[in-house]
Amino acid sequence: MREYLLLLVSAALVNNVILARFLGLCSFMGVTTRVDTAVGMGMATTFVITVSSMADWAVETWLLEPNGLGYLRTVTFILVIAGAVQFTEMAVRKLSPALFQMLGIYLPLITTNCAVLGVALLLVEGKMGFLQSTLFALFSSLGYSLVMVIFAGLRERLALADSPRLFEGPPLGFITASLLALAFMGFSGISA
Amino acid sequence: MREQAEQQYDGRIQQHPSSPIHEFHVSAGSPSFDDKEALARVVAIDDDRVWLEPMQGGSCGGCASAAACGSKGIGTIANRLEARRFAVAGRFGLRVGEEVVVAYGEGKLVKAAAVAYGLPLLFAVVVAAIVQAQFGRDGLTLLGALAGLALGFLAMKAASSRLEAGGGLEARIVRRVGPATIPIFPTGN
Repeated sequence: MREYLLLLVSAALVNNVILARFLGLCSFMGVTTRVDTAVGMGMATTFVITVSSMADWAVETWLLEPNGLGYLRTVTFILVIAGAVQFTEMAVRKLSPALFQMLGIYLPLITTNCAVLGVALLLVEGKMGFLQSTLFALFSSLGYSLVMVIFAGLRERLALADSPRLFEGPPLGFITASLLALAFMGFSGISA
Repeated sequence: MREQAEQQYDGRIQQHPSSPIHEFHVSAGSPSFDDKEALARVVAIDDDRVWLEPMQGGSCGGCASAAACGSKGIGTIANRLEARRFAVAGRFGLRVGEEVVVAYGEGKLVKAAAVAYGLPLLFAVVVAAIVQAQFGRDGLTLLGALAGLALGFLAMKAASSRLEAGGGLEARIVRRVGPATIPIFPTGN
């Protein structure tokens, strides 16, 4: 149990996907203007990262590594992620058209989110078992969602703040993101 | 028309009892959307309904519309955006290419995301953890995760039916988007 708790703290906070590894920054800046959209995007990305990591683990363990095809890893993982995203959309659309329509309006397409590929590639470096790698992916994406929601909450308040005209919007967003990254650097002390 | 609209509507929310559109806003200057609104573009108009395509805001402007994307086919961005098109009853005097603001019931997005993504994931991870604890083999754990995912999708279907029964999942058009936001008037459709 302690092992999994350490994995949670390490993946979600110390090595946060956005603020420590700088992955998924496009959605971090683009989909964090409203808290509910950030929560929805966080859940969607959590699902896609975890499910595609399961598939990537299987492909890496039973196909790429035994056959010495490591050089095809990135291309293969991109294909697997695209398949997982497409499968998810098809499943949600088939099982609940109303939910698919609603989520489709608010949540951007996730294909180009580099955090998904980044986590899958990090799993290979970790040489973990299936459950461990799945939990690592889940915790990493929960860390991603946490930062998205925190940042969206800050931006909602900043939108109402009296700020210099030149700093309104993205400039203030970048300054806030850098301060948030500095705050998350404090978690790196835990790993020492 | 717009000047008339600005004279008639002074920025307060008004209701029209006979219209399927519930709210009419006028907001001057840059659009400011509340929590439940999103942008969509009119892509087709039938006799009694308007077909809309969600506009992908945020990170990449290149994917804003399927019509702007050259490559089509299964899995392409254009194809996926096309799949997200939806219809709203009524015509409201809209034309193809116009941008509108659509809205859903407040708080529904988080619930919808939790049901669509949270439930299947929860089932997959819990079943995988149970199988791992019982058998300790990666292959079986993977099969357990897949079985959990399938169960989760079934649970999602049941939960989404309950969510739909509660209402608020139907999109409604709130206003046009223009240089200044222009309210939509009922046209008798």
